Amino acid sequence: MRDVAVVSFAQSPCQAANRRDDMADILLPVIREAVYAAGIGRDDVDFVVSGSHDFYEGRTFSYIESLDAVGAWPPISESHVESDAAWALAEAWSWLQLGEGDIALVYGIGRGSLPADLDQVVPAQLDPYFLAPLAPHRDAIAGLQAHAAIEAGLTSEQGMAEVVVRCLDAATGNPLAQRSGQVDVARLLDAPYVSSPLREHDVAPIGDAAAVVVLAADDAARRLAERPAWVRGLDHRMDTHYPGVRDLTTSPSTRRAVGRAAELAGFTTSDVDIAELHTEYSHQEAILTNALELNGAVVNPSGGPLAGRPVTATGLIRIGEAARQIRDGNADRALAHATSGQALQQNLVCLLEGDG
Amino acid sequence: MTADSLSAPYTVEFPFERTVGPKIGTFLGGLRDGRLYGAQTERGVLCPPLEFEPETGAETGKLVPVADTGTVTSWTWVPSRPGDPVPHDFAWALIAIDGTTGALFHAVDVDGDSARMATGMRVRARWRAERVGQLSDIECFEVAP
Amino acid sequence: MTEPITTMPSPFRMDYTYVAGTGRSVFLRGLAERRLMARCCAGCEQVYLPPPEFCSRCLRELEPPFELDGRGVVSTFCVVSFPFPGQRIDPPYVVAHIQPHGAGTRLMHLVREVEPEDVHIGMAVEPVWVSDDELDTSLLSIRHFRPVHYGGADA
Repeated sequence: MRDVAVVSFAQSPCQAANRRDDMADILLPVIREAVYAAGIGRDDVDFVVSGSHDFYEGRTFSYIESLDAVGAWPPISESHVESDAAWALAEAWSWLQLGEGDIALVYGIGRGSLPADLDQVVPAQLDPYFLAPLAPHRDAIAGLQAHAAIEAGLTSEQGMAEVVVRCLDAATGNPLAQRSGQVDVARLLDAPYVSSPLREHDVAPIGDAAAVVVLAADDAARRLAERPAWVRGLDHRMDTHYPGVRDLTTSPSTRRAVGRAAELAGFTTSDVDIAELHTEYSHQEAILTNALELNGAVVNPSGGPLAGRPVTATGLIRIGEAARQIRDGNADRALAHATSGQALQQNLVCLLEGDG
Repeated sequence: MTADSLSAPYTVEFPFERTVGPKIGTFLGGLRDGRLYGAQTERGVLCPPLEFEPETGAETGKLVPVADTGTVTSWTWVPSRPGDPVPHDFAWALIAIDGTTGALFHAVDVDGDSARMATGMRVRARWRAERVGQLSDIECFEVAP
Repeated sequence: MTEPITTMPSPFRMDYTYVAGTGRSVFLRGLAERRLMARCCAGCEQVYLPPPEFCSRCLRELEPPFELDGRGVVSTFCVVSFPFPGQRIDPPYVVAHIQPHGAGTRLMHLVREVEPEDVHIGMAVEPVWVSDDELDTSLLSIRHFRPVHYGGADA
C-alpha cells in the first residue's frame, strides 16, 4: 500500500440557497483556495474526481459544467461519481494506490436548493416497485428510523435535541456553517413535528456548497504538507435497499466498513480523538456511535451536517474536517464517516492519522 | 456589470414505464386481485416479496398468498399533502404482515388522531374497489378490530 | 392463480430553479436587447459567446463584455427529419453550429429561409430577431439564422 494523505481542504460557505452562481462559479474559488494551500499548480494534479447528483441539479450530466472550474483543457484524467463526493475520494485513494500518479484533486458540489420540493426528488432514490409509487414524505423513512431508535432505548427526543444543541454550539466556531448558535433544549422540544418524532432541528438543513480535498501520495504528501493527514484505512459498504427488511436501529454496513478500515489502519476507533459523522438526522448519531464503537471521541467538532448539509458535498466535508483537525495538530487520529441513501443505507468510513 | 444572476423555474418529467419481472409482477397482480403475496425464503415468507434474500443474496422462492393483516413495527406521523393516500394527517408505517418476516411500508389511517398510533397495533389493508396492479390498490391500512 | 402484471408506470415530475450564473446572465440580458454580448480571456485571447464568468482554459476572470453583430458562418449542421414530442417546428429543418465573426466559440441554432439541401459548411448567416414584444432573456430572442450574401459570394 502507498501512504496517501489529505494535504489540503477547502469549502465554500453552506448557503440555504445560492441564487448567484452556476456550478463552476461556486467551485472555482474553492479549488483555487485548496490548490494554493497545497502549494501546487493545476498542472501538478494527476487526477480529478468529483461527486454530485443530477436529481439535485435537475439536468443530466450536470457535473460537466463544473469541469469548467478545473481547467480540463488540454484534456485531463478525470472521473465522477453520482453520489456523495466522499465516494469520489474513495476512487481517488484507489487510483493513487494503483500508482497512476501522485496528486489527486477531489471535489463535491451539492445544490440542495435547486429542487423546488424535495418530496418530488426523494422517491427517485427509493425502491421503484414497493416505495417510490407511494411517494413518502422526504423525512418519512428517517422518521421511522428515529422512532425505532427511541423505542430501542438508543436515544430520546430530549437526547436528539441535546445533539442538536451541541452541534449548533460547535458550529459557532465554523464560519462556513449554515446554522449555528446557542439554543435551548426545552425550546427546541416546543417545535412541531415534521415527521414524528423528528422536528425541524433534527433534520440537517439542506443547502448549497462545494468542497475540495487534495490527496497526495508518499513523498509528494510529505513535500506538500507540514503535517499530512494520512488516510490509514478506508472502506464503504451498503445495506439492502428496502427499509422493511433492515433493522433500522443498527447499521451493519457501517460496522463492516469500520472493521475493514481499522484492519487496514492498524488502530481501532477507541484510539480516535475526533469523529466527523455524516448525520443527516440527529438520531443517527446514536446509531453511528454504536456501530463505530466510538469511545470518548469528540463528535462533529465542526458542527457536522446538522449545521449545514450541502447534499452531495456533505460527506467529503466530513473527511476534510477530520483531516483539518489532524493537520492543525488538534488530533492524532480521526475518523470520518459519510452516508448516502435513505436511513444510513450506504456508509463509508475513513481513518486518518498524523505523524507521531 | 450586473452582479446578480437570472434564475427561472422549470419542470422535468420522466413518464417511465418499468418492467417488473415475474416475482414482483405476481405480487402486483395479486394486489389487483385483492390478495397479498409473499416470497418463500429459508427464514420464512418475505412480504413484500423481494427477488433476492437480503441477508444471503439467494434468490427467493415461490410466491404464496399471505394475510392482509399485520402489526405496526414502527411509524412516523406526517401531514397529508396532495396526492397522499389519506386526505388528513396520517402515519407512514412498517407493517409486519401476519405469518411473514420483514415489514411492508405503507400508510396507516387513524382518522387524523396520532394518539391512536402505537407500535404493536393491529392493522389490516383497506382495499380500493377499483384495482389496477399497483401498490396504491391498497389505499392504506386501518385499525383491525 | 394470479396473472402477473408485466409493467408498471413509474413517473417522476420535478420542479427546479435554474440559476444562470452571473456570466451567463450578461449574455441573456443582452439577448433581450437584441445584443450578442461576448467576453474575451486576456490570458489566451479566446472569445466566449455565450461568456461564462471565467475562462475554462486559463481559469481567469474574463474581460468586460462587448457586442458582436451576430453575423457568422455555419461550422457544421444537420438536417432534423424525425418528429419527437415537444417539437416546435415541422421537420425537416436545419440545426447548425454557427461561428459568429469575432467569437472563438459556436452557437447552436436553427438555419431557415433556405432549403435544407442548400445549406453548407462555410455558409454566411445572420440572426433574425423576434419582434419587440417577444424579446426575452432567452436564446429564443433569435428566431433563427438565415443566409446572408455579400455581393453574391459567401464570406
